Amino acid sequence: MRIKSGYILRKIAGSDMVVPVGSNIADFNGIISLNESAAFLWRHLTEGVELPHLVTVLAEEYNISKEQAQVDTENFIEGLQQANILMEV
Amino acid sequence: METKNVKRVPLNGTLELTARCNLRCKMCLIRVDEKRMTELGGRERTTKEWIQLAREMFDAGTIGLLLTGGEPMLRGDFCQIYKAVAQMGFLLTLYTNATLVTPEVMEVLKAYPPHSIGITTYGASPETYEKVTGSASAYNKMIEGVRRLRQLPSKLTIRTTLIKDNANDLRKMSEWAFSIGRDVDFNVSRIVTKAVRGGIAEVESCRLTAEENVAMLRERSKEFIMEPFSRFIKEHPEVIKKEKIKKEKIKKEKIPTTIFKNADNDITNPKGQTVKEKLTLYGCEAGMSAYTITWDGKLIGCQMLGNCWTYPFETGFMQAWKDYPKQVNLQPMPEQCKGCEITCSACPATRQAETGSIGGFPEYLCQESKLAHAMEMKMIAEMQQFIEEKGRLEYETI
Repeated sequence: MRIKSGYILRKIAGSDMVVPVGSNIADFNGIISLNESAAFLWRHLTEGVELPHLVTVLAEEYNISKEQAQVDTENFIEGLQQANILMEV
Repeated sequence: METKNVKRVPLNGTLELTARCNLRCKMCLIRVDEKRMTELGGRERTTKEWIQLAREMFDAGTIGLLLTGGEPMLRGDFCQIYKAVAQMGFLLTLYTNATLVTPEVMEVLKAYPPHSIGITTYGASPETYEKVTGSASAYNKMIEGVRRLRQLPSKLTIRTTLIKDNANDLRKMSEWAFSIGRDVDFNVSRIVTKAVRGGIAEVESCRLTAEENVAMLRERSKEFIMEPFSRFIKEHPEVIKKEKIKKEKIKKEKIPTTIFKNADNDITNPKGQTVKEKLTLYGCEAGMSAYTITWDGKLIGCQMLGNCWTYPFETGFMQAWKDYPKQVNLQPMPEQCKGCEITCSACPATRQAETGSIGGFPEYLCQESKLAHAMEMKMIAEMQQFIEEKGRLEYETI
């Protein structure tokens, strides 16, 4: 899975924000504010990646258990799916 | 003057792509024609210049971007500029009079819809459009333009400015705007100031007098506040009873009288209230987080505030943004305004527009604000009386 094209991750005054452009605004017309770990996952998701890999890199990056990383990643992915931001590759 | 190392971030930008317009609105603050452009000695910036500057604004952290004019679609290269800017990743707003929404424009807007569109309208008939804009046919063009723009997923706001010639159309305009859809906003600019930065409109002769303006406000208040309020109270009398009980409870509660130590950046105002300290140049976001780039290439605080500027096309955007506060020459508040507690629409920008100086006294705005304040106080008193009477009735019934 990966982020659909037309979602632009930006650093604004130290904060990570995503701006949808193009026809994406039909699905989401606003700004998505990401915390540091969400932005970390987002960057990986722009490349096309599977859930187990995301869990592994999140656990390594933030030195947390795989179980915790699994829960956090699934929650994040679920939010993105609900907003129709992800696509299968 | 005390100086602090305050972080200014250029979050919200406006690109005034042109100050020309296909309409000739009597009250336009901005519009210039070719003759005035020559007199002012400026030139419109090229396609390449606007796109390059937008890229610098993006890199500097601008997130909210308004494309406006004049009428931006009047530029032959509008689609080219729009497409390039829309792909960058701004939260994009487009202001237009919707009379030039060609299939070519729609093609690019469909590919990259703005997040929101503000459509300025001037009346509810070709006759009113003729009086206000000088073009009767613009009315039907606008209706068709709105129909096309409505196909986009963008948030639409219908905007209007009231003057003598279109004030009577207000109700029809409002009904039409709301008929487009429940998600469409209708926004009325009630205060019309004189033209700014060399704009050629003779606003004084067409704007409503202070008395007319407040009469209009009274009608709107009746329609949108008083009538729904009365209806609600009649339909839900229990609300008043609950409110009375709640007030009694509050009286018995101990009210803290100690002001705790302020956190960093908090200050205590003269009334003893603790408020967040906010450092500004003009009392608003202009020059602190917001800015406008004018049609002739100047960076100014807001579209109305042409008293000082820097040159982003010559120095680069970031340097122009950094240098802007050095150009600001603040003026003391007018004597007449000191001690006045009435909320009014006077600010450095409107004072500049009305008097030619950011420290000038704007007689028209003051007169209008005092009348509006008196009207509001009267309305609040009427509402309180209504509640009291209704409340007594309820208690008698109980």
